[in-house]
Amino acid sequence: MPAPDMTAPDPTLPDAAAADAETWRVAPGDDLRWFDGAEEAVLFHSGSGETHLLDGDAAEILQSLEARPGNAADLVARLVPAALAPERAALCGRIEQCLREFRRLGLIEPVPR
Amino acid sequence: MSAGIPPAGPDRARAPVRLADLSEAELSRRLRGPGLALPAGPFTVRLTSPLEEIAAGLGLLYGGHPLADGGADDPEGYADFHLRVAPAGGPRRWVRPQVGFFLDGRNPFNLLPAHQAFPMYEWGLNWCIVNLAHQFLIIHAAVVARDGRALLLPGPPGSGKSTLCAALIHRGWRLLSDELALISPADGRLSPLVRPVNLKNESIAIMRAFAPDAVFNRETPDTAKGVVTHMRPPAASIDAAAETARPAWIVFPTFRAGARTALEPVPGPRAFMRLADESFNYGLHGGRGFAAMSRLLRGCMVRDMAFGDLESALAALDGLAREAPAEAAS
Repeated sequence: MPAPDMTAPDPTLPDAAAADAETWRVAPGDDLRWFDGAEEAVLFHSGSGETHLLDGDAAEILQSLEARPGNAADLVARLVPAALAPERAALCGRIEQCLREFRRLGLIEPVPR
Repeated sequence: MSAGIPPAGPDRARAPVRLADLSEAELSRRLRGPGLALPAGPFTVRLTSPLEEIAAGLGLLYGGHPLADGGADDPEGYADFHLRVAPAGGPRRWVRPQVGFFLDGRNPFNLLPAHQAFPMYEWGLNWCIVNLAHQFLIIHAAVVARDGRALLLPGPPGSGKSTLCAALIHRGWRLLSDELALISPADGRLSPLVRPVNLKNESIAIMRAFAPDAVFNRETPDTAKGVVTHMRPPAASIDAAAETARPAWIVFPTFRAGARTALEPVPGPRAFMRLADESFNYGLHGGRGFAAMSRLLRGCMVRDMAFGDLESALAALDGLAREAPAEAAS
């Protein structure tokens, strides 16, 4: 699994501000299969045929989107419900970065408005 | 080698015809003519070759193998791989004789110096299996078994897996393969591929000292892998070559001179990715490969093993095998 170059601009991807507002989902028809460990997980993505090693946080975010679509704020609310307002902004930023990487790998897509 | 094929009769009805039952003349005739039907685990090879080195290597190392066609000598009999190892033509043969490996009449490799004919056959057969036998998930690993449970030793060249494998099969473990783990995606079991064990460089002297009664082919110098030879598989492993085994332990060996032998657990997802890297065809299997790999890891203890000497490594593996094998990687 080649690591994506996060520094390269990609016009097809939303910027950080837009990502917060965008609602994401796993592409309908794509099957995600998991091999979970204590701190990491392996993911098989039927859409690309690729296998990825994810850290625990990334796996949790993607599994949440697999369960139902959401944006970064939704994901913070679902995954860290006890987070205080100042923490939420930082968490949103980290989740947005993760969402951009998922998008780059073809694991998620924006929900049509 | 005996003078000929033993006559048919009541006692022969149950006994397989083994390569050692052929006289040297008969072995040579089959190799030069219709071909010799050799078993290679779940595959059948029909091999032709006019080379004395091939006949001698087969006679020495495959003598205990039953002939795949029961000795029928049927040139039309089924074979998975039709192989030929033969001298290259052209004027160069007078200056520097070379040999070629042919699959269905095509030569997928560069020619090699003539003295490398036997290793070329073994390596070529590995290539055929790895590139064509996609009914299996294939991992680059030595495999041995005890009481029906298998230990996989995956690793790149130089990791020590072949040396460990060669030693283990002289300490009560059954040989499945020194090189290729053949995993059925349907049931997760490992198919034996009992063939001579490939040893190279320092491992050769180590194994000659470790197993003085073992039979080795003559050494082949100046190959791409250095000096190589092959060791005859134990008769008990050949006789059990139809018995699949359940994977129970996966150990990633790393030989480091002077290292103290130590086993360390490997988290399941990390082990998954390392096995996928060591697999020749994981990507081809898609979701079926993912399921097979997941099942493999859920049924196995997984460890890293650094080792600096053979005896302590064998003791560590024996100790691991005494632990409950049902512990899943996580």
